[in-house]
Amino acid sequence: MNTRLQLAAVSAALIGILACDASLAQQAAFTEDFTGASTNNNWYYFNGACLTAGTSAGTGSPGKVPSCTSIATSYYAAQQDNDPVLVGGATGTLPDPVGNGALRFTNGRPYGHGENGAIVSASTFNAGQGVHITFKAVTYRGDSGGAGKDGADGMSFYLLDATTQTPGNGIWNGIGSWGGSLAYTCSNANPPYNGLVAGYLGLGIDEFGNFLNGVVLEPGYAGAAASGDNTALGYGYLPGRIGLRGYGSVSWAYLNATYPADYPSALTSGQQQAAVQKTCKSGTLWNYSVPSSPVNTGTAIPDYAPILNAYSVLSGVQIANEAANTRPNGTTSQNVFFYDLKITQDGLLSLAYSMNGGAYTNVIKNQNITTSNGALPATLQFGFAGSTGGDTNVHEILCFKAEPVAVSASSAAGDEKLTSEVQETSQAYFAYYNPNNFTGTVTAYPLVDTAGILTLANLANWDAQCVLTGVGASGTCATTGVAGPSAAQPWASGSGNSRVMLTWNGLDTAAAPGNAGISFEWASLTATEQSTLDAGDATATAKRLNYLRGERANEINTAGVGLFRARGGVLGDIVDSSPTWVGPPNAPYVLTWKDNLYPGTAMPENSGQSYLTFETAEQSRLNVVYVGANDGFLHGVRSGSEDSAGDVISNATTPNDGLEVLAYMPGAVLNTIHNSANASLDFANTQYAHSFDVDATPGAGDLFYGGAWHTWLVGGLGPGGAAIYALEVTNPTTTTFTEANASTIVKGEWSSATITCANVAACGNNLGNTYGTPAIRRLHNGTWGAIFGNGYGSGSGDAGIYVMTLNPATAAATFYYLSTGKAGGNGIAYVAPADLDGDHITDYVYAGDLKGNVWRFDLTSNNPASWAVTSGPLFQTAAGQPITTQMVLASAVISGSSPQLIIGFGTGERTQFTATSGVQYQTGTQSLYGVWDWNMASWNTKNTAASYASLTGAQVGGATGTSSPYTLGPSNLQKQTFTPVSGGVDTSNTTITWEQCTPGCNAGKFGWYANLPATLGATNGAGAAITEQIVSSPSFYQGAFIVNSTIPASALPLSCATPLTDQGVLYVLSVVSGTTFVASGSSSSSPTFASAFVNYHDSQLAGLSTNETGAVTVVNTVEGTTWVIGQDIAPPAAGTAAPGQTTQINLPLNTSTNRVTWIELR
Amino acid sequence: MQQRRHPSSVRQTGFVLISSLLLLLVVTIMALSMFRSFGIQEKIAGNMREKQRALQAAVSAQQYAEWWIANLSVAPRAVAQGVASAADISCSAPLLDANLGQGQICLNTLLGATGLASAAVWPTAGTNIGVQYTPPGFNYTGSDTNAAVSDIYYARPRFYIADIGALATGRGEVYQVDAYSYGLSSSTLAVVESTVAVTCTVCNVGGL
Repeated sequence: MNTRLQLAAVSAALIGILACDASLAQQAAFTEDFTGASTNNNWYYFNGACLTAGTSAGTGSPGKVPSCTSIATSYYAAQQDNDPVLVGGATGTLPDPVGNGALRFTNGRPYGHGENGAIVSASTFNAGQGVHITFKAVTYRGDSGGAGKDGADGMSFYLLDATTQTPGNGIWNGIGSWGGSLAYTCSNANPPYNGLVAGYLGLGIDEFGNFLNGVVLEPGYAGAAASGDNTALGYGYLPGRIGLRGYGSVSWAYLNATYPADYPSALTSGQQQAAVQKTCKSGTLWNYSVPSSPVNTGTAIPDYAPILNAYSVLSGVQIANEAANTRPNGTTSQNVFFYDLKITQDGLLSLAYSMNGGAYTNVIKNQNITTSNGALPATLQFGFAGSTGGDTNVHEILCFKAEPVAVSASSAAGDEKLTSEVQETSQAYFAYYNPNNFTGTVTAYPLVDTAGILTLANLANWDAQCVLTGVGASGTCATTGVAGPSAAQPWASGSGNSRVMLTWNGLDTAAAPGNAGISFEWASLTATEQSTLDAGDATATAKRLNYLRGERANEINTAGVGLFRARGGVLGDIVDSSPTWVGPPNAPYVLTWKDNLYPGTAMPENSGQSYLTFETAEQSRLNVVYVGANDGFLHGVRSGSEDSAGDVISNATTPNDGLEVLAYMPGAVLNTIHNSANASLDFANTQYAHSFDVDATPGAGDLFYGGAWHTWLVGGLGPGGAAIYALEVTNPTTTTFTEANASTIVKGEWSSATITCANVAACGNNLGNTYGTPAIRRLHNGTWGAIFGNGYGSGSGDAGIYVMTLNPATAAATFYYLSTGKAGGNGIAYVAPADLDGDHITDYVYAGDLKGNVWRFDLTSNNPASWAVTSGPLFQTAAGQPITTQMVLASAVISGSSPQLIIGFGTGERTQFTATSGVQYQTGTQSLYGVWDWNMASWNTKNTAASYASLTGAQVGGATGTSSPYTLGPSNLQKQTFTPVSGGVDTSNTTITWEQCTPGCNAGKFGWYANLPATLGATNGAGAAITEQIVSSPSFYQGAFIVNSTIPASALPLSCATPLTDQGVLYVLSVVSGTTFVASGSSSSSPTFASAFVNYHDSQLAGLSTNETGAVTVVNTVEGTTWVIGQDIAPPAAGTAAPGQTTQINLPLNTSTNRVTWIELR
Repeated sequence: MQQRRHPSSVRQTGFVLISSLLLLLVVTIMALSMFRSFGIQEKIAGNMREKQRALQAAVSAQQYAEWWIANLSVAPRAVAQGVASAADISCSAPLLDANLGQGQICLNTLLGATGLASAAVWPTAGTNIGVQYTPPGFNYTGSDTNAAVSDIYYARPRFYIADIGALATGRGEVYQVDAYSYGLSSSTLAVVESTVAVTCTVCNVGGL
């Protein structure tokens, strides 16, 4: 067989890191982070505005913003509470350390009532190329006042039209009214009622709830009643709202100068105030030529009308962190808000905010405001303000940046994070997502073998997003370089290439468990499903379902018309799910099955279809790449087939073009994808931030039941939910993959609410979010099944595994739950089944939990009731370092005559971003481990022919001082010291003296560990270091433990620094010893080490700084060279190069070949 | 004068002639019989030589097959990965050519693939299966018209590699190698069979 490139390892999930926008502007970026001793720029400053880390007094407005200490007496001590101290900040009292400050407007609890402050930029900003503004805001140390118990009043950011009024002309005022107006609008309630002159756009960060509260409700708005706090139009009083108001100029000076006939100079100051108030309330000019009887002329003037639908009401969270006594940091104390406001030169407005660095919630996106609000002024000034009234809060701003809009609003943004990758035959599959609009894609890049040098082509063979969404006439698919137009795949069924979309006829809830697969069509859904999908809608229609199917007609347009969020593409973001390639059957299964532990047992596989027949029959079946996306579906896209040489071919029946052939929405996702209570989690909502749907990597495998072989795909949801689904994907043809076949394709779905176990009651209580990849295996009870970890966040908080067994005749699933008993916020993601004697039947299952325990589950019994965890754990990591990735299992004859079983794994944890928090990593030193499972005595009695080196508990107890269950720790392992060197990481190559007990026990070691050394200086909010860790599953290849580490960059939400990019090290080291490889020919007693990396002459080089992420794939070329394929953390721009790398490695021969018998037959 | 005396009492009898003729006859018979015997012996020695040639060629092909398993096939990599038969295929016709870099490990044994009762009759059963291999300096019918007739083999040797399962230790895979070669003619044939174990040094016990 001439397999050109052979798969040697599969991959798991990952994400990369956000790069930063390139600015191409003539107007330089205007930046001011407010954290230092002074400001970079000159500002007009008002009242309490000050720098908490400032060191000098103000130099006169406009000028440098004064320090808070310099105005503590002159302003703060003179206000309502006669504030004796300034509270809050980084430590609880001011001043802050330089570099840790912020721009403050008000003091906080127990002081701070009735205070305000504002600043306005002294220079103007050329907005000819649009303007893109980002800043962060914190509100804290409040008194929980107001109806929303969110304190008061709020903060605002505003844009002034610098073309019409200039400071010092007597009309320009820089600030509007205080109170609910937040220094932007005019007020109907608070004298002197003046609004900001030449205001273009005001963003209200409105704790108390009056910023958008006008006299008359916006047409069509049916929410909270308006009580008329400011201006004529609004949305009513509602606390905890972030919203935008448009342009206006309502102040006495402005009205008097602009309309002197209506607003004559002769008015008394009381009459002037009344005139402004009336004008503000009505939004029309009043004629005060007869001051005693003013007349409403009915002539409308700009009155800061709300931008249509441009507001977001926080759900479940508040703007302010009332309880925090010091400035929230976004990790250990929450509520750091990031704002991102963009107006393009053609008037498309976008506003999004993020809490604590989490997914951005879109308040409004690409809505044209030119008609309602006028064109973007040529020059702008920026203003910030904050105020308190009867209730208090510290209000602070930091990290302000304004720059021209770099890219046109209609193009997809360029920052694409990579998710994961899998590789097979002669193309590699990469999956991405775009954090700016949460679209994703799967791409297939050709692998090019040039005389043994393996590279990735620069252009993809296909891009599933381009195929599914289509490419416009003037567009080009960036990754493939193929110009449009190409039509989108039809979302409606009935066309030739229509999407085949399935779901489950239940919601995976106790009330609606469901029992069969159905087509994802409105008419197929149960009544419960229909009402769930349309909850809160005026009328139940198929529109949301069709939107999910890919219909674009109801997406909101730039005029603000449309029901649902405008998507950048139909294929949603692929964050943690790896592409799972299902090609021809290639399992190492034998013709004649035999259970080595129960040799007399009749094997079902030996009657009926043989695996060989199955392999032969399916050799040229369509290859499909399955990947879970956070658009609610598991997607399967086609990728050709294999010819007899194992190369990818594309033909009429098996095109290699990335067209979707199957989509499946689990019932658990159908239950959550429309969240009528929280817009930021509601997929189709225009204010969607992000939620996870199908985010785990599915596992595929061949299994036998009903007298024939089948291929199944079993997957979880990751953070998307506590459910597992199973699909049959044996025959991905156009006649079998149809919506009509839903009930035969979907084999089942089980959730925490619906799963039942044969061995324990209420076992759903143990099922948490299913992060791992299920493993499809043959079991000793004569059935096939899938094994998966119980996941994180289960009701019981236990760590355990589920074993799904399939009835050999009907494939009906029966579950067994094997608990470790170590409950309490615990859980297992990945499982590592072990076949100890080569009969393809799972004997043990190893798994690591969130608390760092290494467990072994004994599945050697032919009675599932006897399956159980081995008393343990057999190992615990240092300080409970979490194990969240796959383990590799290796056996080698090391120190005695029998092989030792070594468990290799790494520690670390990445908690994925949410709508309210950013990506978080485990703190503290993380490590790689290679641990010997010494406890094989029980196994050795079961199969003497395949025995392993073993010790007794007494021997281990005597040697290590532990007692039953003899849980070992890092002190029982040999430390390999890892040291960062230029371009990589060296291992100390320390020789291990293994524990041996013949004749007497020595004080030897049970394996090795190595602390991951690299850091980028990242810390969490509490100052704990975040360093290099393992969040991508390792691979095992030829005795090598191959894994990408992730070195998190600092991602403190409060930091104003441009985020660094994460880095990563590709480790290739011996799983047995944690060293580089012993060169062939040198003795093990005085070994000569050699690095696995070709062309690197450092014999201690264990890791190479490749800055890749995710699980790796190892491929061999026909010339015999070996390559590791990984994904870039920061990929190059699409179309310029593939988003991955190939790294050549060279490993020593890992096999020996011996002739056993010889006979002359003739 | 003394006259030469003829022994009158001696009679000419012709014994020598007769015995000589008889001797000649015996010698002729012996010579003839020896001549015939030499032919048979030579014939016997020739057949043994052809058998030796066939066996050596078959062993040569078998050794190549074993070398191919250890060095060129996917077996070492597969065994090291614990997925020994992952790359195996069910073998059937046509023939491959090892000298063109081809080779294959079959999931079905030779008997399973051919339906034969014994590998010993493989060459003569007319099955078009296996991998042909020409050892260096090997001349076969039609390969080199200048070769001495006695150096020619009837056809190219052939081998067949089957994956016959895992070692009982679970630490490797056993392969069966059948090989045959003809001698000068189709009537001289050698068939050999060996089993070869490929074992991993560091084994993957986490595979399928």
